[in-house]
Amino acid sequence: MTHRLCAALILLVAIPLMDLAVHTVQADAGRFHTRVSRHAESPADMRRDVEAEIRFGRDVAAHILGRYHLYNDEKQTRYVNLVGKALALHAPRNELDFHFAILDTDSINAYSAPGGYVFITRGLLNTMQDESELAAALAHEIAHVTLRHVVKALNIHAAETNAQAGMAHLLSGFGDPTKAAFTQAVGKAMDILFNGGLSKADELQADRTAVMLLAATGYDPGALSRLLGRIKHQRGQHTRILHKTHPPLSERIAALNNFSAHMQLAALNYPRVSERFHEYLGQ
Amino acid sequence: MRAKYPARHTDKEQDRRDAARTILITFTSRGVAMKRLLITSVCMSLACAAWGAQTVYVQSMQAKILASPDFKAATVARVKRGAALPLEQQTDDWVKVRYAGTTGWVPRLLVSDTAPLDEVSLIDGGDHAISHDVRRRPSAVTTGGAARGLAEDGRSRPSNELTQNYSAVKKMESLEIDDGTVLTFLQAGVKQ
Repeated sequence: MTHRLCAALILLVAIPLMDLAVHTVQADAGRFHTRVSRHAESPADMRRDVEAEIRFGRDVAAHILGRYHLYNDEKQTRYVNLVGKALALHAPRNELDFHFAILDTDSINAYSAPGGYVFITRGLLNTMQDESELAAALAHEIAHVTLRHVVKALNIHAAETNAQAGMAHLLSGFGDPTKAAFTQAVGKAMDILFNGGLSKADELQADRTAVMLLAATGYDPGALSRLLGRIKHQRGQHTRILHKTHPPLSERIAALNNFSAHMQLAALNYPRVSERFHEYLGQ
Repeated sequence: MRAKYPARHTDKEQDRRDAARTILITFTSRGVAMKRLLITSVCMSLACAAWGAQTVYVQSMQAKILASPDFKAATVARVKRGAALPLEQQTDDWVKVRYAGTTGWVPRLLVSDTAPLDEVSLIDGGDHAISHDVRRRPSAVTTGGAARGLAEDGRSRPSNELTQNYSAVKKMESLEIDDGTVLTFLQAGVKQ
């Protein structure tokens, strides 16, 4: 009995102290990593994971740009980057350098690849009426990146405990099996973006996060709901992929309105910035 | 006549009984002490665990600490990326933190329980397709597991059926805008 009590005592004291030690070591190292799990990692491992995410996302971005051409309007592209980077400065994951581009298609949609590659279509830009709506679409995509939705959806675990580390090991191997696995992963990411979509929970989470990001940056947080409401009334083939890969717009708008009421966002009266939007986009 | 009282024990028996009583008292005392120690250790464990998770770090470039969980609330203070804030309370969307002798609320989106990393860039941001050159460094972990995991989903298809455009990615990456320019642009629009 005494031995059992002693053992319990040692465990109860030792476990939190070990936890404390891990925190202290990490604090000394001065580098942490946003992780869902509390699995202890070295700073080198953390950077390796992020590098793998960027490398992977870069390849997915190359495939997106193999499917659509870049819209070569420097003024508009710079404008989209200014708005996107302003949001990114207010978002988590400072370790990523976000890049924004316009896709030359009438299709109404936006995409993001892991690591910070964000795309918005010319068709979606033409649907917008002000800068806060542009910020809303970009914020939704930034949220997918910061929350690592695509990486998690790929469900690469290998010998690792989480998807990011699985991604890193996918890139750290060599030979044909690695090449095949990487190729499959990119194919699966493209399939998520253009066919299957992310889960409804991920999409609704990205919407909520986007609204918070809009408010934190200073844009009208009602912009996302307004933009989705306008897209809902669009007819024709241009919204086909959007509808195929996202929850019903009415459901998203209802969820956003509930969230907005819960957070008392309607009374904020943050700017929509329509004049500058028309100045840059010439609409 | 039998004695009403137990017969006087022999010295040997008495010694044995005294020894047993001593052991019993010792064990009882140990039991109480053990319970106290156990309770103390449980409290220590909980305190240590709570301490370990009690600090949050600002992830965004800056964050306003607000007087209440409401974007309209008065700004108590502004803190920069990396600021370590002791956590007081949390909801789904907000965290209550301590800062400079006061408390306030920050959107949960802007903080994490880990400090932010410095920017990560690729050592060789080459313009070649990774899928054509994945040989980087040997790993003890084979990718068989990863390959199996991926192959389980019948929807996956090889990306080499798709076209890649790395020169367009490079063009996309070539547009660099410094943070100062971005903030000036933002402030001109939203007047923070």
